[in-house]
Amino acid sequence: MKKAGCLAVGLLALGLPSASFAAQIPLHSDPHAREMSIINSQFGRYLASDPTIKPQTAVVDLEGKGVGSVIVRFSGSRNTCDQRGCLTYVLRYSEHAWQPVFARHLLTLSTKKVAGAPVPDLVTDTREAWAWTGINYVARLSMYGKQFAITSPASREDIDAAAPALKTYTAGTRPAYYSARVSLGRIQGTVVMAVGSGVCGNAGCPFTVLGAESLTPVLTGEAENGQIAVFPGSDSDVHDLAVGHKQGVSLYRFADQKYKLIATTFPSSVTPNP
Amino acid sequence: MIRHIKWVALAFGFGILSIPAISFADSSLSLINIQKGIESGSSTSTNITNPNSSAKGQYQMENGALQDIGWRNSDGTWKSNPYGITSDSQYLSNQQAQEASALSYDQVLWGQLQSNGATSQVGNVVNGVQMNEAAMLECAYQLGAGGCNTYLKSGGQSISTDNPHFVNDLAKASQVADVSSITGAPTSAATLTTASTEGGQLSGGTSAATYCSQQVASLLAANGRQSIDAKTAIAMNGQTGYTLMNGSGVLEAAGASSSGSSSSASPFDVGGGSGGSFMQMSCIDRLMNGGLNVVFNPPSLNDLLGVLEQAVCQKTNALFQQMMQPIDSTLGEVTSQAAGGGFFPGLSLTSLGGSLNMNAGQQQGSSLTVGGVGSVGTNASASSVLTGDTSWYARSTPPNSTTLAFEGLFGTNKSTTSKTTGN
Repeated sequence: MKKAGCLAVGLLALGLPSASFAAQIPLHSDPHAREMSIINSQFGRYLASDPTIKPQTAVVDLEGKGVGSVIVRFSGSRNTCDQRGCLTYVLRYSEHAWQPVFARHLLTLSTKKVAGAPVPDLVTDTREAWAWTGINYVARLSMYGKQFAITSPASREDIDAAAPALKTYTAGTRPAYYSARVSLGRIQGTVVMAVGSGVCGNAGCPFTVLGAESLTPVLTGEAENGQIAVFPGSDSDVHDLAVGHKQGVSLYRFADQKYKLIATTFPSSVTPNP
Repeated sequence: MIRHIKWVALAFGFGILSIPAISFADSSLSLINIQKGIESGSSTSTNITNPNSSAKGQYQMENGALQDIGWRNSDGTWKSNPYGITSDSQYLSNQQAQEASALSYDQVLWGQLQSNGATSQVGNVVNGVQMNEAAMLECAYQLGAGGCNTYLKSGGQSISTDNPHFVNDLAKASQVADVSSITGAPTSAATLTTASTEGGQLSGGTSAATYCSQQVASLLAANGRQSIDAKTAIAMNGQTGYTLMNGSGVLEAAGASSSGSSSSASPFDVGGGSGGSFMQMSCIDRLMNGGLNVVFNPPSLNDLLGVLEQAVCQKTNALFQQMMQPIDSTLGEVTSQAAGGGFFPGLSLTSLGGSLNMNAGQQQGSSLTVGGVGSVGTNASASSVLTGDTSWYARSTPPNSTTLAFEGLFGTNKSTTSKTTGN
């Protein structure tokens, strides 16, 4: 690994930040920086299409293996910046190519050690924490709010109320139903989850959130137990919900008597990528 | 291989664009490889975990799935299993065990789909995807057998809105012709026939509209159309004037994709040229790196040759291969030289913008031009390229000259070298 070794030496010599302590990653605008050759090779044509984009870059040994990852923020353009900040990538060399492992609009990016995690998290200025999975970074649900487990056997009343929303998941099966009472701010909620072989998939088990008063389903989806979090919303007296998935986190906000998807940490119908 | 082309209209949010979509039922594809691609891209790493779930390994098997196949207890301990796995760390380091567990889970899912009656809907078209056995299994892999049944019974309406790539995942899986090793029964001929003739109306428009900003979606659509046009031109011209006019073509000609040259790449490879899974790529990545296949699957040259074999000279493919192979290797060497050292490992031409024009005439002076913004620009003798002579790029003298220049967006580092070529 001669090349990796060279880069490690380069990192030490240049005093670039390592991931051994929490620190904001400084980005610089140097058109002659060596990493610009990578940026050009990866994004050259797009950059040429919009001369107002000003790349800011850094090289950081995120994994502590002596190999640098390239971080680039595309600032200066309406195409790459919005109210969240500017589109920022982390490129990692893997499988004989530079591959994007993180993409997010942000203002600043930091690294933070997490107990038990061999690779530090990436932390954005909005305090989102992104964990390394082995192939890319995925937003941590735990940063959004209080997670709760669904462990109590559901009451007959709750099962009957949840069954219509869950029946297509449970058709032909004999699931066990569990529930949890959750304070959703102005309203109390009950989360009912159906568990059993043939009911749950590789995305978790089906659940429905019942509004307190009429026990009306206000959100139905799939998640692993413990991967739902509740937190105060910014513009509602009913708390927001966050659901963790393999690909990231989905955020739901209560409006018109239902929880509606308002944002995701991955490309989706509500959060398109540039 | 059963091939079929259909022209469909894909809505890209900004309008309707007619482009060809191809439905393949390919006996060479395996569902398990498709599923690996969907879950973890082209990564060879097996040590893949997730902060929000118990998903682990290349197939992102969750604990519930491992329980379903009898490898794991509900308390988190491991049961006796064929690979002797007793801990998560052992599982994460054992690729064979991961693949076997995913296969086993597919078998369990098929049984569950039979039990809940979902298999009665094999052959139906849902959201434009022919739900053959493989698509059914992928559906259940992601949603569970119950969730898949819900999806099918609702005519695809129940799909979670935060999972817009789901339909594309099913489309990828539907290209697998034979899952008899999983279902225990041969795939019915009727199903295959139906799949090959009626599939193809993928809801790629939805994906483009939801995944990408309108600006980039427009560019993606244009690139897709250009890719089709360029490859069709190659396929249909058996004599001269081979032309590949887009960045995707350069990418493939340079052998940058993990699957090798354009002629061997499946149009349904996950992750496209950059080798990452879809979730790792932004729209700009896909646009710049040629990974159009998430939104739109351009056919490979071989696909077009197969479909157009009645009209195209059989020599075309061999000639194309003959041309492309030396270009692949030569471009790699050029890249190495242009990079000027090894500060960054593997800096390559994998995603050069620009164009590649090639005129493979018999006369002297035919030229190869590879150009791009912020990339390497070269001019060389086509004949030397075609004979596999890789010395043409270096230190030529006019008239058989080679110019090697690195012209970046943010500065120019032009070094012209030359060497007499053997013309």
